[in-house]
Amino acid sequence: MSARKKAWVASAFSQLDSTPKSTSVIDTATPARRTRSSSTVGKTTATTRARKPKETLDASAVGTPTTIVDLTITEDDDDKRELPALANDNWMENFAPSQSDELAIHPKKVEELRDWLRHCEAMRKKYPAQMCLLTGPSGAGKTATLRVLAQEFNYQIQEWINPVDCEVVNALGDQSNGNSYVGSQLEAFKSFLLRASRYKSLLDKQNKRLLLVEDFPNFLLNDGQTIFEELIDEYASYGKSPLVFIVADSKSRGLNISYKLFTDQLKAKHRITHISFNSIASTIMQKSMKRFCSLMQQDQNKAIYKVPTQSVVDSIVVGAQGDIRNALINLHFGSLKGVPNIPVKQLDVSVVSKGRKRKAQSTLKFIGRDESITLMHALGRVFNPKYNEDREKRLQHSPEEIAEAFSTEPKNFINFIHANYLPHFREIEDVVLASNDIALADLLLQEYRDDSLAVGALNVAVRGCMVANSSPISGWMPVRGPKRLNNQPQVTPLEQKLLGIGFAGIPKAKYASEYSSFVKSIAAKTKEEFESY
Amino acid sequence: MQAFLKTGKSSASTNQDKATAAPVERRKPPAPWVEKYRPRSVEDVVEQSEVVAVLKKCVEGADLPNMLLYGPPGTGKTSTILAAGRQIFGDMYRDRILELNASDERGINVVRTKIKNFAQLSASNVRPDGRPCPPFKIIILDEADSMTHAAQAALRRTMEKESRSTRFCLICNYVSRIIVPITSRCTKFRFKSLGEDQIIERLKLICQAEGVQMDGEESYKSIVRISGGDMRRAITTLQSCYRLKGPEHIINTQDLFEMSGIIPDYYLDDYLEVCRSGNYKRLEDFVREIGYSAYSVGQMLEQFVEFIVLNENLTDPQKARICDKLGECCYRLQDGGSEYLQIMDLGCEAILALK
Amino acid sequence: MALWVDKYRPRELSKLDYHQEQAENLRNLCKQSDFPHLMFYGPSGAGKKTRIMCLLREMYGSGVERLRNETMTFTTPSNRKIEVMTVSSNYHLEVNPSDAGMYDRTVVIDLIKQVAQTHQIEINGQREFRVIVVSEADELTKDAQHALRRTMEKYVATCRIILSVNSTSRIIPAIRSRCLGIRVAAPSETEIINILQSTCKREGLVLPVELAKRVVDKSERNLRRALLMLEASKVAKSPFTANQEIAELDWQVYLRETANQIMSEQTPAKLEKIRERLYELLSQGVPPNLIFRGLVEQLVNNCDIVLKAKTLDYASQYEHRMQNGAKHIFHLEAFVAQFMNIYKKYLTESVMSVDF
Repeated sequence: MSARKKAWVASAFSQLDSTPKSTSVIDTATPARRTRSSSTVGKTTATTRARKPKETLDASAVGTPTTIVDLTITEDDDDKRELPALANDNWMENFAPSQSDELAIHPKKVEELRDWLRHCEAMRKKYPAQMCLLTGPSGAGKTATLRVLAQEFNYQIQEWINPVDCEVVNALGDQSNGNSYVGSQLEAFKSFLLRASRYKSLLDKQNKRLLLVEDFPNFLLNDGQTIFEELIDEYASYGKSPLVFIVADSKSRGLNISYKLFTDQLKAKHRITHISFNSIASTIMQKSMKRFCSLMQQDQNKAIYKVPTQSVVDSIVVGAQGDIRNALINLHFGSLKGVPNIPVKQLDVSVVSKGRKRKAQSTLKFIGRDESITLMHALGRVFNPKYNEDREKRLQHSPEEIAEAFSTEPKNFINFIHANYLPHFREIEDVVLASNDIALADLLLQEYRDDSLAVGALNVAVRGCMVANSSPISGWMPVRGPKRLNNQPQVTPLEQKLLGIGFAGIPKAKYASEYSSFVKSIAAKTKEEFESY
Repeated sequence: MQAFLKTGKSSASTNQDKATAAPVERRKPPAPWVEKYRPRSVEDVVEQSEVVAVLKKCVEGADLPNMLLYGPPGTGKTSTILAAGRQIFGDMYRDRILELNASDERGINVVRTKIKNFAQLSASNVRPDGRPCPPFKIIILDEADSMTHAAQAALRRTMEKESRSTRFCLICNYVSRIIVPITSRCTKFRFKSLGEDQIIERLKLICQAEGVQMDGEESYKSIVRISGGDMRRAITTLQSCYRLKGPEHIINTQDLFEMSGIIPDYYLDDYLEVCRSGNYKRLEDFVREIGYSAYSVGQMLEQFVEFIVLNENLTDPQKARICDKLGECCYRLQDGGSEYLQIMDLGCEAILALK
Repeated sequence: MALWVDKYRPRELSKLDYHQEQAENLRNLCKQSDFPHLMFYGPSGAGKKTRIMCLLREMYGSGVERLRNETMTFTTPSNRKIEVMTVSSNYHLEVNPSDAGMYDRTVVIDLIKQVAQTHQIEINGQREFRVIVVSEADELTKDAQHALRRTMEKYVATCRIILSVNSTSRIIPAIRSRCLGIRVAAPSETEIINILQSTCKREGLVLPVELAKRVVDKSERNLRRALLMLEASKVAKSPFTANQEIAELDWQVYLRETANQIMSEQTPAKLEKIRERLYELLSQGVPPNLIFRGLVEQLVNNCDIVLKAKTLDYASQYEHRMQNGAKHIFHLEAFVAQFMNIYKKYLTESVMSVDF
């Protein structure tokens, strides 16, 4: 199976370059294979990365861009063969930062992490084991920072990678009966934590290890909280090496590990240091783009890369939205020789406006991250609609885009709109239209038989709010969450006693509308009488 | 054969089991009159001459087409086909007829399994006792318009493939809800609403048999009015009234109206009069009064349509305006809207229209 | 200790205070061996439940009055557990499936199955079926009503269903045609006054006629409300005086105040305050359709007929939407916004016409 897969993968990528080296990229790039080979050796799934300390990215990230290139190349078939070979099997490594000053991270954050590592140094071989949690949006440089600093402190990183299936070969000495069973992932994870923190690798001279969990085991993803707490408790008592968790922020709460697993109590109990990274500012990003460009011009790379134009670089920075990994990938392909120039799309944002000349912004046409906007951001766009100052009035942010961005949770977004729209309206005439559309959206959402209606409903609500608001009140207003009603009429035992056994037979709504207020006053009186005796 | 029995008479066998298991003194509840007085033979079926003619031929031994019977409720669609089935198959009725109505599960799975399995069984042209009988089975799909389109689509191939040994008979109220491929495979028979005389004739027969005392021709006529040409409703109304009032009571028009929830005509007159007066307060009071007397506003609006259309004191523009609103209010009411608000809305519109 | 409403509730068909002819009919019904499904319909507080209990007693004897509470647990297809409180005796079971909200379908199906599949233990009991009383059946979703109709047919041998319904308009025709409808009209004002008087007599109180009249006026011909009102008034002040204050439903007072606020100012900021008030009412558990109706009744007071018609037009439209939507507040708010808008225009126009 795996042999066949390899062949298939290889053939798919062989168009990229015909040297046999490319297959070796794939070889290491298939996580399944890597895991299995390591698990057969040591029964732990820790991968030793000592040989490649500079590797910044998970191998899977390498796979994605290569396919993109594949597509672009087919457009002009002729010069495909003239492509120079990549010098390294993992080009990303070429650009990975090796020193802390190369990091595209705010120095303060770097210092924070360094402080923690220093602290680890001080606490070495002492209990409890040190733990740290790094959070931030994807591509904010969490892993890169850790790797650079680990190198600085001479730590060897032992990373947990989810095995595809834990096939543990039952090999008791020489009685190999060929049976294998699928071990529990929990066991595997436990033994990883135990072994990797205590025993050093045979191939390695360093004796300082740092455990890294970035790829959370599946069993922790839903309802794993209690198990996780136990694991952490155990580790705190026996673990010998510092343990680092890296969690990328995610939009939805359900998937948000840092929110679900790392509760405040847990963090407080084990003194888990929490360092949260922000997405990378565009100035810093520009700086590191320059570094990448200069790297490209080094001798060994010159054959592969051409220098991208400034406009391309700018649009890459805009398009990446603070995701340095994404920016690098785009830059890489924007500057590969033999690849046609990346088409650049003008953003309709801020043309020459009000005397101050601003640079026209543009973004990449197809390559680029999906624009993900946060809830707060989107609400701001809905409540303070901005128009382009063209002759025809056009909304700057189209309602479709906003609606599309929240198509996975239309109900939630509409509830948020409803909870917050009123303070932004000046006139009741405008509110009429907006509230009508919000109500209509609610009605449309109820039609569960048609999936596309949900987005339609969202669109109606968003558009209604934006268009109706003729003179929005701007200014900062706190965003309120939607209100939840708990329709549980509070019935005291005494009131219940008054109603007798028939109480259960009274529908809740009827109780609230017919009985409640009378029974309350009667009950109050009986209580008084009762107490006066 | 075992499987055949299972599908064909699952309901019958459970009934029998219950009957034997239960103690002897437990008598079976008397059948509703609708069941009791179902026509036993095709000849008994009132009116509906074309389909009766076809079925008569079939009883005499001719082949039967796939049929689609449609028409308003209570016009004898189900009765006709059941009676025909009884006559054609006699005591083999249970084995040869599969009847499914909307209360059975009838999704696409049932079409794929139950119906298909039954359809695939072959039918011989002799009875166990050696007499000849038609070599086919009948599958009756009652209330076919409530089948999903997917289920209907799954049916069409089966209909064609098994046409050698199986006849389908679909029964529905609205032929427009049956997909075209099905209707094109069937002979369509439309059932007309029953005339007053036929219903009265039937009712008299039942009254005689059950010993119901009616208060003259007038009360029969009011049953017909309540039922609107629906024989089942007519008989049910009669029986309910008889049940409530007891055998000694002579049933009169008022009892019948009370029973059926029909709103007395003077309410409609009053409503229009109140609207004409243009007094909102009076309208409000009137609507409250309807609520207190527990009459259904839905029923009221339904009767009001006819009342408005036939009213000679209104101009056509007035009628148009009121009916426009009426339609809207009726829809909202059916869809769960509040009775009070809908009828008030209509009243206000009527006030404006009559000004 | 019990409330007057329960204490003096008639227990037998022959002791009912009004609709005696109907009681006679119900007795006739019990005499027969067969018994259809029933649907009692009428406004709130007209005595539907009382009649149902009397009917059951007529059928099964005093055994139906030995009530017990039972909490039944149901599991929805999505594996969610819902608990529903029921009141039952050996012969009947009373349930409000509408309390289960959107899961009412599961409750209807499972409950009837459970009841219908257990046969009556007492073989020499008069009836071989048990009765399920479904209150507020008109609040059931369409889905649940269809399920109810199917189960009604399926288990007709072992159980009968009695529905208690406020308005038949919301019951699907398939159920309506399978039930024998019993119309329970609200008692007339004199009937209510008589009942209030006799209740007071039994309690050893003297009720001034004026007070009784005022209570009846406020009660909207709802007997239960009248009795509760009287008892609450008695708690506040006893012995009765003719012009004493009558206890009112607090949500109605609150709603009236809300309506006044709407008419006092028509701005988005005010609308926001109104929203808070509506939330308050909803969280008290007051059904949104009652809120809607109450609002409309109050709001139209100050309008001319054209504006009234407009208001009702909007109200009927938004109320209908609300019934089909999920977020009641959205629709209530949209209606209030519409009203504010037309009312504001109306006010400015009338000011203008005064000027000229």
